[in-house]
Amino acid sequence: MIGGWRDSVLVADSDAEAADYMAREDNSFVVLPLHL
Amino acid sequence: MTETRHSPRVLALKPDTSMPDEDVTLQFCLDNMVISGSPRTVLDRLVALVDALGGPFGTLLLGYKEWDLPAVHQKSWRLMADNVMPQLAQLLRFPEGAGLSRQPGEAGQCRPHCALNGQSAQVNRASDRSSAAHPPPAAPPDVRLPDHRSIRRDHGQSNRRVPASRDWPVRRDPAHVQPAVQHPYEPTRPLEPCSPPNSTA
Repeated sequence: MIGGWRDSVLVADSDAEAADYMAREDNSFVVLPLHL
Repeated sequence: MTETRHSPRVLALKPDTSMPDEDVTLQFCLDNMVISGSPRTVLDRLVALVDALGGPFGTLLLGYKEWDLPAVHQKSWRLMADNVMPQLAQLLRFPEGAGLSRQPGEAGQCRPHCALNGQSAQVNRASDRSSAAHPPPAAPPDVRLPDHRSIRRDHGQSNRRVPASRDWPVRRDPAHVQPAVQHPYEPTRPLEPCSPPNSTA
């Protein structure tokens, strides 16, 4: 593995919209590392 | 997260094995494992990922997680398919037509071990050469992999046999092995440093 694990991509209409989603405490990407 | 941090699995989350376990935080994982943003931002970061890996790879495999807001992720995949992948595929498969901006020593340089660094001079020379004296290389052949889906769909009715596990690895006649296709890689825009921007946070 090079550079760590990157398997998740979120594309939104804008950077701000993506940032808003990523700031959610219950977003799907938060759930993933918590289940490892 | 604390439990993960103290288990061997934490290695999977580290970009470098020398990284202290305590630095593997939830925010670090989100910043490093997730590429998020507008189509342009995602494209830039995928290009940076290709750069960090030393050149194009065969398949981009994405995980799909819609545990919270399915509509958000469904839109993400539509944007990925419509606005990101066509440009990424064009960049990786037809780099000759792409503009070149990378210069040796620029901020966008990869890590020292990155194979792309050694290609920088060649890449820049390629942008200066005249088409008459130095015609551009032919586009790489369209190499298609076997369609394994057809093997699965017919439930063994096809003449194509799926090798049993004991048959692996399949011994191939060297005469039938196609030479590896070398894809010249030329990024179209200044690349971000290999380390994600938030990795030092």
